[in-house]
Parts: sequence; structure tokens; C-alpha cells
Amino acid sequence: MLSYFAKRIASSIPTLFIIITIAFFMIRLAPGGPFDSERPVPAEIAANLEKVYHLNDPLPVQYGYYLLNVLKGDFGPSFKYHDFTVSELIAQGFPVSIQLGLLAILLSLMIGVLLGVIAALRQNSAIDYLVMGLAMTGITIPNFVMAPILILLFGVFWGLLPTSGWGELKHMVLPVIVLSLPQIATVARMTRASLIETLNMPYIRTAKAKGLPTRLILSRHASRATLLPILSWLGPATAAIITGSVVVETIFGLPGIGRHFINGALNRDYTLVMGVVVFYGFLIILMNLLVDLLYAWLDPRIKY
Amino acid sequence: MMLTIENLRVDFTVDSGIQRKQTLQAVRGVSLELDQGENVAIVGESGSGKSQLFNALMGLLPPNGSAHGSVSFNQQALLNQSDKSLNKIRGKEIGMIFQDPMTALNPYLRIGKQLTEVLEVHEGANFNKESAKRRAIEMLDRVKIKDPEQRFNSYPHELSGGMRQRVVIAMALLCKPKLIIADEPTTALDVTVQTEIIRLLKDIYRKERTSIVLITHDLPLVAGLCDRIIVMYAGKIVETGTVDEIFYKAQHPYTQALLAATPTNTEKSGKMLAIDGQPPDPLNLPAGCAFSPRCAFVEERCKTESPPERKIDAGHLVSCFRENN
Repeated sequence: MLSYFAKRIASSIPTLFIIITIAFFMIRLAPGGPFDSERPVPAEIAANLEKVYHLNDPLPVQYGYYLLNVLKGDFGPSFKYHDFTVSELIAQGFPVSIQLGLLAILLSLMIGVLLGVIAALRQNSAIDYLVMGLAMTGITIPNFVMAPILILLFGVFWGLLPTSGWGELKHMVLPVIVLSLPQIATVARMTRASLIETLNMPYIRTAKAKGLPTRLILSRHASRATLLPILSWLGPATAAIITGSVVVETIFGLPGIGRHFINGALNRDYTLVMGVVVFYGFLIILMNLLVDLLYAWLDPRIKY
Repeated sequence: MMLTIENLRVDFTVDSGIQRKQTLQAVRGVSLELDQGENVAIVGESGSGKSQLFNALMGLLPPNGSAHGSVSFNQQALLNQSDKSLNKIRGKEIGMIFQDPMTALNPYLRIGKQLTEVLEVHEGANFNKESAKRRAIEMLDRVKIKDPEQRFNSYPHELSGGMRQRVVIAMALLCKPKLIIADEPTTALDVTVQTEIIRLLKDIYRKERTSIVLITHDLPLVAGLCDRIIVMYAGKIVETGTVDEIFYKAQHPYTQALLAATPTNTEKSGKMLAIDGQPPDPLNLPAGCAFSPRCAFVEERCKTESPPERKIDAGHLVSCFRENN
């Protein structure tokens, strides 16, 4: 178990290395630089700045400097927010983003599983078609469409919820809903398919032949096999919620990492974008590792 | 009579999505009676409806299946009852053993849990975890599982196929049922293990006097275990009789062909005898006797009329027009 854990951590290093490399060269491919603005900076100052940040060195040399710093755990200073390091900005935004993300995952799991179970138990009935139809709609509407619609309805027309800001529970409602809607739909569809498949298993027939009531068959015999595929959803879900939060935090004006990511990219704040990319990569790798550990815990046949 | 089945029919609605819905008749009017302590074998090829017959009376048909007719077990109606009333009988009065022990046990739950839960649901308020554990371990010992205390805490994948089938048998026996339905209990097992399982069933029958219905396609297997043999073909009973009557005085051409098609009965050339042709397509059954297209003694009327059941001896019945075979 421990050696498996160590192996997985070790194998994530090359992955992170590839992420860093690709992200580094991609952001540099974008035209412009961190110190370009509408009001041109005097040439001497620009030269000084570029010297300080090694921006006038050849790209491979800059890449080398960056890698060395990352190895030391230093993501460098932000090019735009001069008083902050990238690590400080991430540390500031992280509590906001993690609250949003965790709430969205929790909400998706609870409502998605509930809807999926209802649909599976009433397979091919009107309720089933209704739930699956709604789920399909949920998957197809992108979050940058859903967010303005909800803002319009709950914020502007009915005045029930704030449309931006952070600090109170009411500020989280709309962003969390926008983040979780497509995930609720995904989870509901997966739960339905998985439960229907599980209920056709021979061991469910054995449980019926033993005289077990449906309630016990569902909770004791069908639950684990049904939940396993949903567990593997947690990996991609983390990725989806991260990309979703980039949009959602910008639309709702939330001070999370996602907004730093967008602003960093627009400002060519190279270090900030890189820092966020590496951090996101690390989160997704960590989540996938967690999923594999949960697998072993749920399924006695899996041993590491 | 403990179990009375009258004119049982089992239909499946087949919806391929392309063609219009069709009705597949898996069991076409089966009547049979079973006394307390009696041991019966249901013999037939795959698709003869022998398993669906008993799935129907246990309420285990898939959603597209429906059962018609009447079945009573100790004066209680079984067919089309609610799960709630069936659950008073399933696992308690009637135990069931399945074909494939590799999939019949839940891979996520320990053997012990899967055993004791039978007592948990059937003993209600009288359920006691400690005594249930003790009885489950005794039962594991009874079906000759070594180190039953250890096995109690094992997961199914830690056991061999034969061991798992013993666990399934222990599960069926825990509530001391009056009837055990064994649906091809040895088909998925190695030949050496098959004999052990049959020996175990025989031993259980001798000591507990539990009735056993053995569903199988293996005629020689039943010879030592059962009193009576019921031969099914295409959803109907074609012949019923004692083991001796079926083995030595078989009347129906299908039974005779089935007996001839055993590995011990090979031609001099070393070729095994097989029944010509294929079992009929259940969606497209021949008119008259379903066996007529494959029958060596087929007459004109076999192709249009269904032969009625005819009495040869007290318990020896055959559905065939041909006499003195």
C-alpha cells in the first residue's frame, strides 16, 4: 500500500514536468509580453524590467531558470501584482475556489445519485424520461450561458440572490449551482446506467431468492457496485469543476484562483499563469490518486 | 401436496427495437406436483424452459417476463404475489442454488454477512448476531468447508468455485427450507468437484429430508440422486417417470435420444451420438409436437396436433402419439 502510494507520487513527477513544459512554451507563443500596455513604458525602464525578470535571455535559458525555481518550490513573483508572489496569490484564492469546488462536487453527488436511483428504479417510465431529459439539457447548456440566465432570473428579475461578491453563504448559491448543474446531469446518467446494470447481476437475484427486501438489496447489495463508476468520475469532475470555476469566478466576480488564471493569461503574467497551471495539474493528479485509494477501500478484490 | 403447479405458462416480451414486439413462450402449460420429502430432476436442453419454470414461481423473472397459471406451496399461492409476501417464503421455506457460483455471491460482501443476513431477514426480532454467526459457521462446516471460522470472514474471490458453491448451498440451507431448487448446480464446476457437490446434496437429502428439485441437462448425474425425472422439451413436459422407468423404459423419442447421447454410449467408431437438428426457435415453434422436426418416428398428425399426455404406468406419463416404443 505505502509502496504503491510512493510509486504513484513518483510517477506524477514526469506528468507535472510535461505540463510545465507545454504550458511554458504555449504562453510564450502568445503575442505581447507582461509589460506591454497602452501607454508605452520608456525603453530604458522596459529594458531594466526585462533584465530583472530574465525576459531578454533566450527562451530555453528562461525555461531552465523557471524549472530550477519550481524545483525549489518557488513560482516566482507575479509580473502584474508587484507586491505579491505567485504562491501568495494562489494561497489567497485557494480557500474561495476550494469551497466552491467542494460544495459543487457534494451537491452533484447528492442530487445526481438521488435522481439516478429514481430513474433506474422507474426504468422507462415517465419519471425516468423526465429526469434523463433534464440531465441531457443540463449537460448541453454551457456554464457561460447558464450563469447569465440564472443571474437574470434570481438576481435581476426576482432580486432573490446577489449576482456578485463573496463572504456570505448567499454569495455561493448561484456559482455553486452553475458549477454543479452539468455534473448533476452526468452523475444522474451514470448512476442510472450503473444501477440498472448492477440490478441485473446474478448476485442480486441470489439476494432476492434469499428473501431480502428491496430496501436491503439496494443499500447492501447494489450500492457499492453502483458507486464505483461514480467514484472514477471524481477525477474528471475535478478537472471539469476547475475549468468551470475559471468561467464562473470571472462572471460572478469571485476572488478565487480561476480569476487569477484568466487575468494572468490576459495580462501575459507568465509566472502567475504557470503557477496556476502547475497547481491545477497537481490537484487533478492528487484527486485521481485519491480515487484509486477509495477504489481499494470499496472493492475488496482490489489490492495495491 | 407440498408444491402444486397447474398449467404454468411463462412468456417473455421480446422487443428488438426493429421488429414489432414478439411474445416468446418459454414455458407452455406445465403441471406438476411435488410431495414433501420427494426428490425430482427436471431434465432438458438449454432453452427448454426448465429454469424459467422455477424462476417464475420464485418471482425471479426479469421485467419482460410474465407468468400465468397457478402455483401453490403448502396452500399458499406463489404466482404474481407481491415481493413482501414472497419474501416470507423465499430463502425460508424454499432455498435456491444457482448455476454459477462465481457470480451468485456478492463480491463486495464477506461470506459471513451474506450467510447471516438470511437469518437476519427471516427471524426478525428473534435475530441474534452471535447465534446467527455460530449457526452460519456450523452450516459452513456442514457443507464441508475447511476452517469455517476463517472462511466466515473471507470474501468470495478468496474461495475456489467448488467452495463458493458450498457457500451458496449453505446459504440455501440456513433456514431449514422444506424445498431446495438447485438450478444446474454443477454445470459451472470441474468434473471432480461436480461429484462432490452431488454427493453433498445427496447427503443433505438423506439427513434433512429436504425435498430437492434438481434442474439439469445431465441425465446420468441425476440417476443416483433423484426419485423421479421430468423431461422437458420446448417449454412442455414430454415424459415423467421414476429413474428406472426413464432409464430403462423411456417412451418418448426425445428421452430415448437424450439417453443415447451420453458420452458412455458411443458408437464403435468413437463418435458420440447426438440428436439431429437444433432445438426449435422459441419465437417460431413448429405446430403440433415441438419435437416433430427432429423425431425419427414422425407421423403426419405430429405436425399438426399436439399429442396429449398418456399414462403408461401409475407415475409414468408420456406425451407422444406413438405407442409401444
